[in-house]
Amino acid sequence: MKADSLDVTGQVAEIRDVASSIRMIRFDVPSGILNLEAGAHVTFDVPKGDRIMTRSYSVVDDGRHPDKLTIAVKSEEQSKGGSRYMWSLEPGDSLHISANGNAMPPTYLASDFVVLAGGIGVTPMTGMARTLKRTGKPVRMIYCARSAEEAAFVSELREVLGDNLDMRYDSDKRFLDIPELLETVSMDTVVFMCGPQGLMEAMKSAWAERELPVQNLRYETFANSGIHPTRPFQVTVAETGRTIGVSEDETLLDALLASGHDVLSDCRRGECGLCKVHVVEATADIDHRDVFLSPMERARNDCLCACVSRLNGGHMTVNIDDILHGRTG
Amino acid sequence: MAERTYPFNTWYAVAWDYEIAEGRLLPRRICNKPLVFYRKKDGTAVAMDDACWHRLAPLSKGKVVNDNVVCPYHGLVFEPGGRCVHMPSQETINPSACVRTYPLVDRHRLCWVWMGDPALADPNLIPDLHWNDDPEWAGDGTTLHLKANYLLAVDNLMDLTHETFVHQGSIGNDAVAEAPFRTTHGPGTATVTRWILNQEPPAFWGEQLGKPGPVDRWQIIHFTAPSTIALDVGVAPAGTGAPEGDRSQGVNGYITFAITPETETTTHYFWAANRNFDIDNQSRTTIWREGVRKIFAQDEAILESQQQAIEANPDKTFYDLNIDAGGAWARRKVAEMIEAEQATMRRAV
Repeated sequence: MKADSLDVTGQVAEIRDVASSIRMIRFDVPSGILNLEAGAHVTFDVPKGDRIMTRSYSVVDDGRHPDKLTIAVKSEEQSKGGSRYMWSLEPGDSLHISANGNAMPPTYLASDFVVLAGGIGVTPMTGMARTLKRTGKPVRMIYCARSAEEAAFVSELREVLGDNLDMRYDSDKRFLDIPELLETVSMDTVVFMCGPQGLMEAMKSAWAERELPVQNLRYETFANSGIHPTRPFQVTVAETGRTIGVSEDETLLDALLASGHDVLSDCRRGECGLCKVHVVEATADIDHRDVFLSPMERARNDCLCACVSRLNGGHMTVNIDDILHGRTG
Repeated sequence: MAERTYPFNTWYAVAWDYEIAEGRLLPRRICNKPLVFYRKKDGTAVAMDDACWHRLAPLSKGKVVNDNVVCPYHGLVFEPGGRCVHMPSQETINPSACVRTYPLVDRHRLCWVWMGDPALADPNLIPDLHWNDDPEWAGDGTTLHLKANYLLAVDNLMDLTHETFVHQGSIGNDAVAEAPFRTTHGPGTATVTRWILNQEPPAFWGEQLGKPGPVDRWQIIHFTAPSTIALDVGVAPAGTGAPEGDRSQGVNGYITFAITPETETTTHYFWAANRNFDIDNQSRTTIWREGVRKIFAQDEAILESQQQAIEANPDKTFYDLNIDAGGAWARRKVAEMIEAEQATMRRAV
């Protein structure tokens, strides 16, 4: 699943605004090198001043078009730099792709499928709906967006799914009732979801409560958002006594590494737990954006995954050495 | 490395049904991918990549617990859909952790895997080898592990002229190489029909028929791309109407072949020799199986030395003779499958 670092160039072939704040960008890529099946993601090198950052995006594609890579980028009010750069692209521009993989491959062992998308989470779910539909098994999709203007790919999805596409617009007050949705799900139903953290956590806890098979809830998160907005904050590293700032467009991990602090990391998407640091004290709430820590571990507020989780402003002191790993209750 | 010689969007036989058993992990490489197979308690067979998501340890060296596979190295547990359901020493499970699984279906005493786009894996596309488990037929077979590219085995079966030279004394005699044959083809299929009329039967067929005198002998090779063959063979006393469709005075066998690329230069060759006469006689079943096994050992020897010669002569190519018409159609059908697969990939969505 994990791809080694790649050296692939994508050239912008087409740009289209597919919703009021979502832009579709299609790249020409060398045929057959990238995994572009539903659920796949690609990582681009994105220049930021004199630095190169990496930004990962889910593909909209469904694996049937090996020389075209399609992504959808939301224009964030508080851009971390990635989307602002992506929105500045023009046809003919080239980008370096440094990684690729699929952390959410389609599965076919199910009686039926439910696809749940929230906001920009529609990106991977569009290819997923198309791919799953090809199995001939029933596929339902629920797509939650703020309004019709902010929903992307609706006509494409309608074409694939017909009446099995259920659009839920906040503007119509048609909010999703997750327990009600799970009433219609069997032990053999597989649910794929991608959306804001609140939606996914509500689904995960409702899923566990109904004791549905853990393997049948499939989701992906880039941990780009949490329960709080993305704010700058200050960190003092206890071991060195140094205080550093973490700006809106960098992660705690980036800031620690940039300031010469030696910390581990691997997945950089809040899944593996290798970048965990201990929190000694904090003046604001920790915004846990990972999927590694359990609810109990989170509630203790004594650690966070530096690759994605943040402080909601303010200041904290952390230990970056002598980290307690393993099952901590 | 030369281009891939096998398509992915097709069913390949990977094992006899009994080889994939409950609670046991069977490793086997198919289309150059190491896979592991096992059977769930409900009898459903499972195929997944034989490499743990975590550190790529072979899952086949682990164990099956409650229908799940436990990695031998750090105890990660994967359910039959390939998703990780247990990780050591942590409260949560990384949602990315999974191994790829493949559609796997039991049919005609064999298990068939689909290595390509799973959405296209329609079990109705599994070739008809019903003679393997039809109650009106009796037979048995086994697997030959062939150290040669799978298409060399297809070539071998599509042109039985070689019987005269490789199998002289058992099923081959001069009459085979002298008799003309017809080839026909359809979408994904090719058929070679050869009638050898009014000739003395070779030793094996003379014994099976148990009647003296010349015979009309038939060899009808039904090929389904990429690599399944049902070989309709038999003899009847000459002039009793077999070429016209009345085989009632003769004896008939259906030898089935499911030929699966293991790598570009090795092959899993599953065969069974079935007959529709004297079907309750287990001794005859054994005699057929052992007789055919000896015949295929002769093919194995020539095909493996052919593969070695191909590798030793990378500057040389193949030439066709008119006897290769059946094999040439088979190879063209395989090439069309590979092309179609690539065209589907290219088609805009």
